[in-house]
Amino acid sequence: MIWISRTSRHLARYLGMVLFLPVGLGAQGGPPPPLPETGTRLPRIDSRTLGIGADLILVERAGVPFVTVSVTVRDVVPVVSESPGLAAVVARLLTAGTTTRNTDELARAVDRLGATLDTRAGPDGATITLGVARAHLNAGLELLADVVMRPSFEPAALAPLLEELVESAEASRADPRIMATRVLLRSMYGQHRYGQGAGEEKLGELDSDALAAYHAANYVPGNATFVVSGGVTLDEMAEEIEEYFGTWTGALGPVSPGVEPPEPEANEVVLVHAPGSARATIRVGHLLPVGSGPDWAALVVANLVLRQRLGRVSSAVNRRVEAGYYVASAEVPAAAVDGTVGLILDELERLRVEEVLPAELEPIKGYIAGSFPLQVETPQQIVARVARDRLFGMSSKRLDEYPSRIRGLDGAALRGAASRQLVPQEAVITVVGDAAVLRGPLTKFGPVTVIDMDGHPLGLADLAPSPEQGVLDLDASGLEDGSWVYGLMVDGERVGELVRTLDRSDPVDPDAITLTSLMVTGPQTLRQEVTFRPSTFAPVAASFLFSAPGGEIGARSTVDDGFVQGSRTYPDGRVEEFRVPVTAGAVMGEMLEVALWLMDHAPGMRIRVPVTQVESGATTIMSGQVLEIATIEVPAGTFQAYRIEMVSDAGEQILYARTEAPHIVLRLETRGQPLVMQLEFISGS
Amino acid sequence: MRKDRLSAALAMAVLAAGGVSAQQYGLPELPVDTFRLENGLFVVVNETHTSPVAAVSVWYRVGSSPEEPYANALAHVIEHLALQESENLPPGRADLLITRAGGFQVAGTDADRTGFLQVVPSNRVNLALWIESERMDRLVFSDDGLRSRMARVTSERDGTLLGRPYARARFAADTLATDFVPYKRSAGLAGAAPTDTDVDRIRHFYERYFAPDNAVLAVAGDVDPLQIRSLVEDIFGRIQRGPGVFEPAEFPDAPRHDGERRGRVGEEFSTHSFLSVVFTTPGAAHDDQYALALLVRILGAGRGSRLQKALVHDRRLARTLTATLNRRRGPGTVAIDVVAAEGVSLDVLEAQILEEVERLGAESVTDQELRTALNQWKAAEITSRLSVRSRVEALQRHLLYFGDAHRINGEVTRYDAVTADDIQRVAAKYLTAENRAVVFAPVRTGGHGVPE
Repeated sequence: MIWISRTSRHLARYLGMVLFLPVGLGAQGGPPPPLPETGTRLPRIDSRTLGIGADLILVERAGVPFVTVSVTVRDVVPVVSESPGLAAVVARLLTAGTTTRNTDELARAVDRLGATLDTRAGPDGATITLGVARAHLNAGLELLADVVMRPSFEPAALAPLLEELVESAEASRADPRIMATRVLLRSMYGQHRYGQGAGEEKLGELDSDALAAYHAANYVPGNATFVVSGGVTLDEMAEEIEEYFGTWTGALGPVSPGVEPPEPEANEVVLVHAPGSARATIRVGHLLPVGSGPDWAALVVANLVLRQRLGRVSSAVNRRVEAGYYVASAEVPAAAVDGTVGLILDELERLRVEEVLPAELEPIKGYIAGSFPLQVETPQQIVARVARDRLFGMSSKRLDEYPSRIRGLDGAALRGAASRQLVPQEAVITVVGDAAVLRGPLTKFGPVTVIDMDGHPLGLADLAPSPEQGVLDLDASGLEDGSWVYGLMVDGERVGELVRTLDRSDPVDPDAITLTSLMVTGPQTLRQEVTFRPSTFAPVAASFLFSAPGGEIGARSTVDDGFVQGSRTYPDGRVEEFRVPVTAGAVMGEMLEVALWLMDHAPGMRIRVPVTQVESGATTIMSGQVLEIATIEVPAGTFQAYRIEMVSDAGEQILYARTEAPHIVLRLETRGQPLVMQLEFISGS
Repeated sequence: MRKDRLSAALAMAVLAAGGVSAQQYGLPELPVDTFRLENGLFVVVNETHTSPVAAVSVWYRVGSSPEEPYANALAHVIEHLALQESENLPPGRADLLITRAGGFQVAGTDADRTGFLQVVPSNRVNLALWIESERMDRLVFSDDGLRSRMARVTSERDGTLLGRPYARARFAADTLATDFVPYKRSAGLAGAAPTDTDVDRIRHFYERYFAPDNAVLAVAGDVDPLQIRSLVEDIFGRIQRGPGVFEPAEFPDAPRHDGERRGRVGEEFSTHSFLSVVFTTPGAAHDDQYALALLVRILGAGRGSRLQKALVHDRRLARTLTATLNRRRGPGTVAIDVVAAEGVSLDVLEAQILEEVERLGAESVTDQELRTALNQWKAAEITSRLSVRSRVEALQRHLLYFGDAHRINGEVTRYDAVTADDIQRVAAKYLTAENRAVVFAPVRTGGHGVPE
């Protein structure tokens, strides 16, 4: 079954046809062209430095009876450098009580105004945000000033928070995605604070004094930026802030130089061993080598180009005050690990050297520029966006400078930015998965370091392989005749069917089994047949014929005297013959289906089957793993089934095989395609 | 076309002069224009040029119906069919067009309506209108498409009922509380389309309910109402009218006086026991809605609210608690939903809740409580006017409930007029034992329970 879709795709490409053609526009009507722009512009951004030393940035929304005010404090003075989680703990505790209000009183005061008061901490600083009706701005600012200037850091509030953070960090260790990112950051940033995560190992050492010391050093007006949006003018806002924050004093003390990230070198692989895992969680990342500010718009576009090109791999550029990074992320079957990493590195390189053509670039630019106004519609959204831009040193006079910049980019500008910022040759590759399986395929990308979940190095002897099953010992003698009807579904709609028939009554060769499959989708048919010896599970002959309105293509192979010998026929009548040595243990055509019926499946079991192609005699490896036992409902009934992931160079598929022997395939899904096959009817076993 | 610029201008003048209403309420009036096409399509437009963005929404007046027992399921199937494909939009094409323009779309079906919403850059408002006209006039019906959409709807319904903690108990309480049969059938998308539903039945339902004269088109944002009128006439004008606006049968009165109803539900996917106490309320257009809306805030919104303070923070009997006013054209509910803390019995929780509820009917709330509730409501109302999406939905709600979009501009006055006596009066009137439904969902009751 697995190779049907592969073969079909291959043949359809050859014939210049697509099996599931997108439907064209109807005869009547189509989408209207864009109207002229309305001329409404996104608002201006004003700023000034306040008397207390802080910066004030305002995006006025005249007439809007609501104001959002944020205060961003940069994380620049690491008082306790060994505690990277300190800044986040301080931020979380700001709203847990002040020297004038306990937690309860503070919460009630916020409720009384119908306001919101939130804190958020990131790698470069913390932001406290007030959202309040314009009519209550004064009272809201008084509360904001209280939490920013006078937090109490009561031990009674600190202890449960630390407990929660440690528990949450412990729980996250089981998540391979979090683990992969954490290891990537540590590998790229080394001892730099960006590589230290939440620093949960040191959280237990924090006390109220450490928090107060951090607060006194960092929460000073000279290190703060107010960003405001709503129905208030710059003069009004400056006056209000000076009134409520007038007693806030202090400037930054000497800033610790901090640790530099290590100099990037050639590709290296860090492999986190998760024994028995069927999947590989991949991160491919590198630091952005030059300040990303001027290239930011181009990087955002480049990133979306990469996302489209990489399919199921996600792609992101991340800003940081000191050094940002690029990362591609994927979770794939173990057998697809090297293909996926190779694809990511190739696409990064391609973006550096090849110009993106307008046909690909314009829709992406249209999407980014078009969706931008939707992202900065409300004061809350505006403040979040502007505060983030300012933190990363980007300043604009108007909000719509960004979409204008996006629209102005062309292929050359994109390639220029990509060649400066993307460095696949220095990328760090981190993978979480079964190192016994993954280590070999990953060595082609660079030296591989294997560690356990705690970060301790592991040697080869520590890697015990999972059990693996091939086809050499299979015996099909016990199989009985039968027929199986499958529905072919695209996006849930039935577009055709496949009928598979097992027949043991070959009058010429009674010691043979023939499996025939006929797939019909509209005017197209694909007929496949394979004959094999049940006791040795060795192929004898196989064939296929694909017919479509554009023509036919077919092939036939026989196995004899140590060779696979056959011919393939093209639509123009051309015939090509081939003769290649037999690969020991290889199956042919739909025998793989039968092999899956006969194997002794168990969760965790790995599968590796050489499959000889009917049309060329070439042999490729199908590999996979039994993931779990699941209940599956198909039109033929509800079954307990092994959920199996299979991978070949043609792609990945998930199939469900009945737990009862023979393990008939009940359903097959193809990753990245809407095609699903599901069993509708069984006749026989 | 009705123009309401005068009232908007007056409001702005008051605002500029720092008058009482601007100081106190802070909500300038929304400009609202309305017109109706010859085919019956009612159109409401809000023009606000704060950002180059526009929202387009169509609400069809169907989500339940006394005429059709499976109305909710059939409307939901059509919602999915409409998102999927139409004569000039092959599958996936609408999504692609909207996304490439920089916008997004959502759709939903509830007991009162089936709605579609798009938010797009304002120069693509014509695209959004055209896509909605495809949905209103040119759906594609096929056996295969219908089957797959029915399967999708069933799976979505199962996900809603089973995949969310305590959803089964919440829907059971809602069903138990209401006597309006069409709402009972649509609670939590409870009704699945019958398996013998065929294309003809769906097409008939579509033609009956998804017609221009049973729909409201709302547009909000950076648009010119005259241009919108011209576009709408051009794009929707040739669509044939249907059999007319659907008016549900008469709604039963609220409160009920026939006694408490109790139920017990198994919540196999939940780890903590759950309790829902529900009181039946009148339709959204009833004058008591304003006092009820503030009452639920006094009960359960914010750390200082009565139930939050008593059950969650002071005595730690509950992990979470919400008090909600569920508004519908017909009877709605005040629902108090509580997730019990470890080891706390539902009987104890219920007793505590009822004690606080009875106190509301017996004693006046404080001025501070009323002011807090009012400020919370106003803040929520203000923020709901800040985006085109929430503005267009607010206009739709006012038309659905009151048949009058302009009424949106008088809401603050109506809420401001609510007194502590009103709160006590509606509490005594609606939060009564005879009008109460209580559903227990203890952990490990086993099985998929139904209300007893």
